[in-house]
This record gives sequence, C-alpha cells and structure tokens, in this order.
Amino acid sequence: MPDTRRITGPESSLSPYTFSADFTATPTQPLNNGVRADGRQEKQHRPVYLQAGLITQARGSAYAEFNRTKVICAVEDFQMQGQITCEVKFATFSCQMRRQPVQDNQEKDMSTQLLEALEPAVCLHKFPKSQVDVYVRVLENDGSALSAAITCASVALADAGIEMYDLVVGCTAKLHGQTILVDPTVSEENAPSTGAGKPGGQVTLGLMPSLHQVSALAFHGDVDFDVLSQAVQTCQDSCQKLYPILQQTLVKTVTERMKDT
Amino acid sequence: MESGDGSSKPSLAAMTCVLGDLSQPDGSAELTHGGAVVRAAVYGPCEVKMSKEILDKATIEVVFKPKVGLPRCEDKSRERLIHDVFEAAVMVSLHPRSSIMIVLQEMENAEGLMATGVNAACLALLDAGISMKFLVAAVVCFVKSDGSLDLSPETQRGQADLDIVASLTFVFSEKDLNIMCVSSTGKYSVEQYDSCLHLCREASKSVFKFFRESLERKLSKSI
Amino acid sequence: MADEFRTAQPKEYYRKFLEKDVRPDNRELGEFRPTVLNIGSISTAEGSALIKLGNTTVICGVKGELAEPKTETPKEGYIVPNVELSALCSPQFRPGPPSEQAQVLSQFVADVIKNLGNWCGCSALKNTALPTVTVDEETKKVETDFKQQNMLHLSCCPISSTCAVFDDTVLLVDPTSEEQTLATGIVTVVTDGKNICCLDKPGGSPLTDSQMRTCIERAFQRHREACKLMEDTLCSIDR
Repeated sequence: MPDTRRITGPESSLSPYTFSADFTATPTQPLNNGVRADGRQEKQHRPVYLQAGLITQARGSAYAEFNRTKVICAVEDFQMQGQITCEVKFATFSCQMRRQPVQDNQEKDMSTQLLEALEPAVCLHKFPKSQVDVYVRVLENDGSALSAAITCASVALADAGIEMYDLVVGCTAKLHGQTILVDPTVSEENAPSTGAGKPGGQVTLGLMPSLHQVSALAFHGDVDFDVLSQAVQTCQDSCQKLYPILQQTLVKTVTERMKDT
Repeated sequence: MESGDGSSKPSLAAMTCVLGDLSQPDGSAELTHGGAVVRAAVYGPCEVKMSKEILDKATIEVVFKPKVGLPRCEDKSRERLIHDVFEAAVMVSLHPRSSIMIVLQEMENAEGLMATGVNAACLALLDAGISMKFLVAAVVCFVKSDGSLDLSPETQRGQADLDIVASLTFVFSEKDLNIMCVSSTGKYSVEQYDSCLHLCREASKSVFKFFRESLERKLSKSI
Repeated sequence: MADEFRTAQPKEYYRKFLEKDVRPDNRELGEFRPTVLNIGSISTAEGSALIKLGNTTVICGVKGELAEPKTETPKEGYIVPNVELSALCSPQFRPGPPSEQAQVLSQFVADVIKNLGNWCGCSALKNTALPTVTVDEETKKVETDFKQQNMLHLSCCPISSTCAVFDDTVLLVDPTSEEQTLATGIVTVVTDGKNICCLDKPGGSPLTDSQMRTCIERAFQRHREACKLMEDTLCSIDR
C-alpha cells in the first residue's frame, strides 16, 4: 500500500554506506591504552548542553546535546483524563542509514521506556483532568539517544510547569566484558560484544537524584551480576554529576522569563 | 475560438460544457477545455460535520479525485487552491454552520487541468444556485522555449514537455478582474509574468461570456 | 489589558497598530524577522541546514541513496522532499500521519525543486508560519568511493518570501502564524534572482496588479538579502 500522504521516491533504494568498507568493519578494541576512540576515559560522560523553553508555541520544551547526539522535546497538555503519553521519533536524517517517516518498532519501544522513566516522577494526582503529551524528536543520533531523551523530557516537563517529585536524569553504559563505557557513541553501541566468552550488554538508567531513586532501568545482553551492579552504580554517579546542569538550565530559563515580564 | 483576423495572436481553446446532467447533486457540470476534462458536482448548503463547523460562515469542502488511484499530495494542493478561491468567492456568511461541498473528478488530464477544474467548479456552483460575490474564471498561459506565449493547451499535446518551459494559471474575479489566485510551474521572468497576466486577463472575459451563455442556454431549455 | 484585547479582538488589535504603519512585534509592514542560518549542523545527513525566522524554526536534512532511475528518464535521479509538521512545533499540529497542510507544503517544495531542472538538489525549507527556501551543500557519492565527495551542483538558488493580505488592502511581509491566521490571503513568491521560480497565491482576497507587483519586488529584494546571508554562512563553516 503506497503512502499517498507523502511524496514517495523509488520503490527500492540502497544507502551508499552499505558498500563502504569503513562502515561494515568491526572496531577492534573498546579501549586503547585506557582511552576510548573519541579520547574519553572509561567513565567520562560527553559534554552536555541543555536549553529549556526554546519552542515558544509549546507549553514546555527543551533541547539536549551530548556532543553529536541532539534531541529536542516539547510538552503539551490537554483537558483529558489524567495520563502521560510519550512519542519518540528519529528524524529521517538522524542516523547513518535513512530512517522511515513512520514510527518503527525501536521508536515505539523507546517511547514506552521513556514513559516508564517519567511516570514515577510526575505528580499525576495533581492533574486529574489533564493529559500530558511528551513529543521527542531525535535530530541526530550518536549514541545514548534514550538517556538524552529522558533527560531532555524531564527538563521540558519542568519547563512546562508540571509538578514533579524530582527531575529524571538518564545515563547509558555499554558493557564489554569487565569494561564499562559510560555514555557510548553510536560506534561503541554497535560494536559486537556478546558471544562466546565475550559477555557484554547495554544498560540505561533513569535516576531521580534528589530522592536517590531509580525510575527506569533497561538492560539487554549477558554479563555477570557483579558487573551489572557495578555498571548501575557507575551510571548513578554519572547522573548525579549531570544533575546540577539540569538545575542550572532551569534556573537560567526561569530568571530570563522573570526578566522579560 | 479562432481569432477573427486570422493573426497568430494566442487564443483560447474551445470550451464545451454540460450543465446539471447528474440528478443526485444540487448542481453539476462537465467542462471540456482543450484536452482537459473535469466533472464537478456541488452539494449544499447542507449539514456539516461537527468538527468542521464554523459558527459564522459556511464550510467549503473540496474533494479532488484523480483519474486513477488514491488522492496524492498534488491533489491535496489542488483542493487547497480551489477551496481558497471559492471561500473568497462564495457568499459564505449567508449559510452559517453548514457545508458546501465541491467534488471534482478528473476525467482527462492535459495541460491546464487546474484551470479547467476551477471553471468546472464555478459552473457547478452556478448550476446549484449558490450565491456568490462574484464569478471567477481561470485561464492558463504557457511560456514556450522560444519565449512566445500560448493559451490553447490543445496544440501542445504530444510534445508538451519539450516545448513548454513554464505555465501560469491565473484566476480572476469578475469584479474589476482582480487577481484571485496565481499558481505556476517553471521559471519565467517578471516581464513574461506581466505579459501572461495581460493575456490571461483579456482571455478571462471570454470565459465569463462562456459561463453566461452556457447558463442562459440551460435555463432557456428547462422552461 | 493589551493581551486580553489581543485575544478577544485580534483583528481590531491589529488594525490599531496598522493605522500607525507598524506591527505588534515592532516591525514595519515590509520588514522581515531576524533570520539565522546554520548550515551543516547534522553530521549524519549528507547535507543539512537550520533556519530561524523569528520564532519559526525549520531544520532540513538531505539523505542520499542509490536507486535505479525510471525507464522513461534514465538520466535523472529522484528528489523526494517531504515537509513534516510535527506536534512538537505547535499545538495546532496533531501527531499522526501528515496533515493536509503538510501535504500541500510538501507538494509546494517538490514543485519548486522540480522547476530547477534535472538532478539538482536544493533543500527547500518551509514551515507553517512562513516559508523560506534555503540551499545547502550536499555531497553526491559515486559508488563506494567515499574519499571523493562531489559537491552537488545547483543551477540556481531559489529564495521564497511570503506576504499576507490583511483586510484586503494591507500587505504584511513575512507574516507570523498569528498574522497568517488573521489574513485574508497569502502570496508566496520564489525567485532565483533573475526569474520567478514559483508564484503561489491560493485564492483569498483579490489583488490588484500593483499589489502583486509589490510582492514580487519584495521577493527579489529578499533574494539579495538572503543570498548574502547564505554566502556569509557558507564562508564561515569549515568544509
């Protein structure tokens, strides 16, 4: 069934990257002399940029940048039954391979994970008659998109003035055997780690830092229990470090808004 | 219509129409202009869907059906154009909270389909007896690769793509012959725009004359 | 007080301003909003541009893929432009498949690009509140050779500008979305500096020749301003 609501291209097309040796080659080692491919330490998070309230038409909005991972989020509320909905979408040009304009399974999955991460933080009982819609658009994906989405969405919710117990900070870690890589890039995420004798996986944590409570924990892969709990602890530390950035962003937005009025 | 003096002045292709031949709609018309044929039907003023209701005026709904397949983006774009033209032309405030529906069916696609569609819709509205502020007439003008202008699309068939570099569709209101709508494809200079405008405006007079004659013919028959 | 007046009687509110030849956002009638252009900000896209006109922001990314050409046009590729009006941008837009408005915009962008001739890419960026077309650099790849990236050749550089007609008489250049909802007609002119690439006035209040002329002249003037901005931006980025 052709899509009549969009302008359609040829029936089949191939990304030129499929022919390229650079993109199909497997990266050798996650760490080289204790340093990652982009020069970071194992447990070092990429620099984070956050801005709130940039979409003037939305009730609340935020933009998050983890180096090249760029995520934008808007929050709307309607007079409806009390609930939150989340919609995560990758822009068609956000990945190496072109994404389809309709929401695919990965995006649906991420939407549910985001919803589950935010739900415990929002004081839903304060909004018995309103529906809060969270729209997230990944503009560019260079790894850790889900944690960027969680962080961005919680700032947008706060910007919209929706009451929350605490902000939710997201953090992802990639596990290669005993190695824990915090905030992986896309090439680190895609690096094969599972297999015989090479346990690995990926864990995403949503943390409410002031309450010191975990609102979301998503893991896939196979690792020793000790490594997993160590990874969760590492993510937690990372979230605590990011927390002040979220707070400062919100304070800055509020002071600017006060100045205007 | 041949130009009287036999000169090469661009002239409008012949138009024929059948009015009110469909029994179910309130008004209908089939217009043939050059190679393009469009059938239009008008329903209304009648009940409107709650979601589309406008409190102080009638809702104009336009459906453009292509010859084959489902409506695509280009059909939506035609629908919007026809909607915007007739929202300004029809006396919408006479029928608040009601719907006037214009359904257009493409029968034969040729250069100038858009203009034929607008004219067919106007004839169908006339046939349905919907009050309008003014009549509208659409004329399409072609700029050829040698810079000359042409009005009759019929002669272009077969080699149309090679020779035509741009086409401009104008819709004029009968009152003062002001520009209601412009839609164009291809590149052209401002001077060419001006001469097209002039040419189309002149030609629109004969379209208005054709509207009147068609309606007179139909009314004299039915008495 | 002014805000209540604006909500209750928006047309009357605008008329009060327009009497004095000024708009509520301090602009003159023929003035564009401040424009910010950023080129190449998305590295996963083959070409990208972000444009901000006041509070309207459009981001455009170009992805290139290999495909077999149509049998009737063996020497031509495809250009598939799609405009998305995401629910992010404004409460007017609902999530789900593209609205009619989005479809009309996609078609408009497609028409503009088609007019430029064969195989020339041009990212036309457009949004509800106001359309602006911007060209950006794009790489065209040959088979697997990634080292050699060819810049896409553009035959011309189309820039669009929009005027809104208020009360059938007053022309407002570069309308905001509020102005656009109050307007009785919209005229969009796309020019490449010499010629008109696309003229779009879908109905609305009838205009005289001189009013149309004003819109076209303003579009040509805008083309010069926008080209300057684009050159400056292209110069400033490291290729």
